[in-house]
Amino acid sequence: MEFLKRRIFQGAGAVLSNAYVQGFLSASLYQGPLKNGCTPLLNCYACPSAILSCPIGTVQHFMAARTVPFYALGTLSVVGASVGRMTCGTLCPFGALQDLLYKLRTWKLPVPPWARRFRYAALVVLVFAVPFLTGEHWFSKLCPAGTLEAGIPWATMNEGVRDMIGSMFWVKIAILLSFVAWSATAKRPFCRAACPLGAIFSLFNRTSLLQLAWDPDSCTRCGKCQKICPVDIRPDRKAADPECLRCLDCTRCPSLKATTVFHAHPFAGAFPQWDNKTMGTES
Amino acid sequence: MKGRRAASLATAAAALGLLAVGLLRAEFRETLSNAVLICLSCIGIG
Repeated sequence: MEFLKRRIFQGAGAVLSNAYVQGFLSASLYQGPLKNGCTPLLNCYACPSAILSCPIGTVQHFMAARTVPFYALGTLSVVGASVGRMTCGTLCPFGALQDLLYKLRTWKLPVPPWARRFRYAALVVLVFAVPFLTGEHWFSKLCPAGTLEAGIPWATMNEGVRDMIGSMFWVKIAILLSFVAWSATAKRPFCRAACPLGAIFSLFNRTSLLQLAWDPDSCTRCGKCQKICPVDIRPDRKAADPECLRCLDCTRCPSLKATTVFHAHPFAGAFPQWDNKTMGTES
Repeated sequence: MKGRRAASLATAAAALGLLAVGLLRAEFRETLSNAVLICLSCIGIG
């Protein structure tokens, strides 16, 4: 049920942040007042149907203008301080695509733990440093979500855009295809190894108001929480892991529970039994 | 636990402060013009 709920939220996140369907019909961008708001998702604002601004694009814009992006970073900080990486796990359309691709029946490989360093590097180098030094939005130039949501639709719909396509467009296509192939074999590789938005939110996982609580008394250390985790972590070992997407899939196990920092004893008086059925791992 | 609660509240207060500064500077007006300007970068031709 929790899993199904997350799919519904992911669908709603994709539809609501891309509600300007007319953009695809008339090959135009939405430029109304909602575009003044930053979405807490990786959703390209050059997508014809996007109604909100991409926070990473906005940060790059301000860095390129050599100004501190208070508004974009403030919006992300408020979301991160409230729920940590929860929007990555429950609303992000690019994350949802990776979840679906992983369901394909191919061989499966783990993402190495050191890969997470690359998303912090992407944040510092491509989102902050390079735009500040060169005045160009280099993360946007490489972003696979932008290729999928804006590059391909615009190149398909607009002849003028098609005429302007150069080698950079094909580099973007190659990056997108690499992540699509990787997502079929590994759990959420883009979120874990490349997403600068995830890097920002993961800084808040330890101190966010929403927390994941683990009950050592009822936990049998069976590892089923890792099996169902979309980023392959062991929440029973580190409930405030920066990798955790706060998708709450693991709360199907009664030893794990969503709580807030205001609850000192989230498991007080509750020791329910669990089995394979409640965990969704019954074969 | 009290330490974590204090850290969480301090983080939330700092985040709200950051957002308030951005709103006072009316930076949100720039995100709209940015959305149009950055389009070519997102497409990979800018």
